[in-house]
Amino acid sequence: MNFFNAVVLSAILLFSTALHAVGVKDTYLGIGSYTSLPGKVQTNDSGDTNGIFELEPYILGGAEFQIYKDWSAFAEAGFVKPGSGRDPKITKMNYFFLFSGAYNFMDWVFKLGAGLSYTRISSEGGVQTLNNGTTTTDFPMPDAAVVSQNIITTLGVEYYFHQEISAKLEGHYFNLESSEGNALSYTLSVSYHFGNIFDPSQRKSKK
Amino acid sequence: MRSLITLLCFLHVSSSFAFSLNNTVSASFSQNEVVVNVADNCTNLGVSSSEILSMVSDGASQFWNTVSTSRMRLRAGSVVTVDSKFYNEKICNSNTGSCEPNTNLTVGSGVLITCNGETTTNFPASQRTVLAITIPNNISGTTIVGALVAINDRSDNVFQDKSRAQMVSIIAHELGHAVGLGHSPVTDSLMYYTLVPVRDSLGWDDIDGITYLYPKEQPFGCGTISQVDSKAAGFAFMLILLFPLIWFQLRKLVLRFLHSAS
Ligand SMILES: [Zn+2]
Repeated sequence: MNFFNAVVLSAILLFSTALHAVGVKDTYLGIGSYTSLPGKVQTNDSGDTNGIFELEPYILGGAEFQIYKDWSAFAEAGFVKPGSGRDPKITKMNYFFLFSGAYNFMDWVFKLGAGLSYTRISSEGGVQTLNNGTTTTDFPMPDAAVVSQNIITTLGVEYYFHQEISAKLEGHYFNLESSEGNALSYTLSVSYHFGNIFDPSQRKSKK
Repeated sequence: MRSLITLLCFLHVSSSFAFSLNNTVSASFSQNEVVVNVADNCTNLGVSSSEILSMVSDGASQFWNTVSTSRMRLRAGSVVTVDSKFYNEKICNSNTGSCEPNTNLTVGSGVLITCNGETTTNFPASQRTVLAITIPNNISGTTIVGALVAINDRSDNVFQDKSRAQMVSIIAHELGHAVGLGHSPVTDSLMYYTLVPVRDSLGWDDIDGITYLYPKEQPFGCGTISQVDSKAAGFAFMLILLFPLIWFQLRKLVLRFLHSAS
C-alpha cells in the first residue's frame, strides 16, 4: 500500500466517522510520540541499544462509538512523522489503523484491539561505495518504496483529566500468533475530544 | 543482471550512506522460510560442520528472525555432502568488482554454506583475512533461488581465531548477503563490513534492509510478493473492517431520511 492509499483509507475512516453521526459518541484529534522497538535495536559498536522512550512525533484521529453501557468501540488512525532511517538516504514512514473495544471506568478507558501497522521504506537508488574485503565496491541502493504490513494487537489505557482532554498509553504488539518476530512498540499521546460533533446536544457529555 | 561480490574482512571504512543490496535487481527469496545447509568439507576452521549449523540456528534467532516487519525466516537445515568443486573452485569467474558466478557451484535452492580452500582467486595470501565470500549465484528474474556462502578455509584463516559469538555474527552477516543485502556504512549494523567489539542485536539499517527486501504482508502474504498485491490486500482488508460500520450507519441514515421525508 502506498501513501496515496493511506490517505484514501484515512478519508474512508473519516467518512465512516461522519456516517456514524448518530451512533458516534466522541471524535478526537491528538498528538504524541511513537516509540518503535524500545531497547531492542543496537545503536553503536559497543552493543548499546536504543532508548525505552524515543521521541518520534505522530498525529492521531479517531472516533468512539457507543456500544452498551460502559462499553464502547474505537476506530483510530495514526501517522508518524516521516523521517530518515538510520542513514539519511533511507526514508521511513509508519502509520497504523486501530480498532478497539473499550471499557469505561470513571475517568479511565481500558482498550483492547487490533489493527494494521504499516512501515514504508524508500530510497532513490544509485550506488554507494563501501569497503568490501580488501577493496571497495559500489553497492546498489534500493530504488523503490516498499510497505510492510503487520497485523498488531493493541492494549491501551487512557485517562481523562478533563472532559475534553485525555492522555493515552497504548502498546502495539507484533506477531502475537508466532514465536518469532515478536516486537512491542508503543505510543504516548494527548487528545482533544470534540464530543459528538454531529449533534451539539450531545457535546460535552463525554465524561 | 549484475551481481556484486561481497566480502568481509578487517579494514576501516569512511562514513557513507545506507543499507545496500548485493545485486542490482533487489532480488530476494520468494519463500518465507529459507533453509541453510552446511557442507561437511571444512578442515581448518576449528569447529565442526554441525557446530556451524548450530551457529546458523543461533544467528537466525538472535538476528534475522527477530524482525517483526520481515517475512523472511532462516531455518537451519542439515549437514550435507557436496561435490569437491565447492571446496576447490573459484566462486566467481571474473572478480573485478562484480562477480560472474561460477556455474559449477550453482546452489539449487536455499543457502549452502561451504568451506573453500581455493587460494588463487578466492582466498590468495593477500586476502588471508577475508572471512568468506557470499553470492546469490542462482537468481531468476528478481528471485533468489540459491545462494552460496564460501568460508575461507586456508590453513592460516582468521575465522578459527574468533570466539563462538563472533563466529555466529560472522555467519549471520554472510547470511544477510545470501538473502540479498549488501553492506551497511554504519557500525551499529550487522551488515557493517567488519566485526565490531560487541554485536548483540541488529541495527536499524539491518532492520530496514531486510524489511525492504522481505516486507511482511499480513494477513494476505503467502510467499510471492509484489507491491501491487500489498496495496490491494491492504485496501481490501480495510474495506472489510469498515464495511459493517458503513453498512449499519448508511442504513440508519437512509431510514432516518425516509422517516423525515414521510
Ligand atoms: Zn559482508
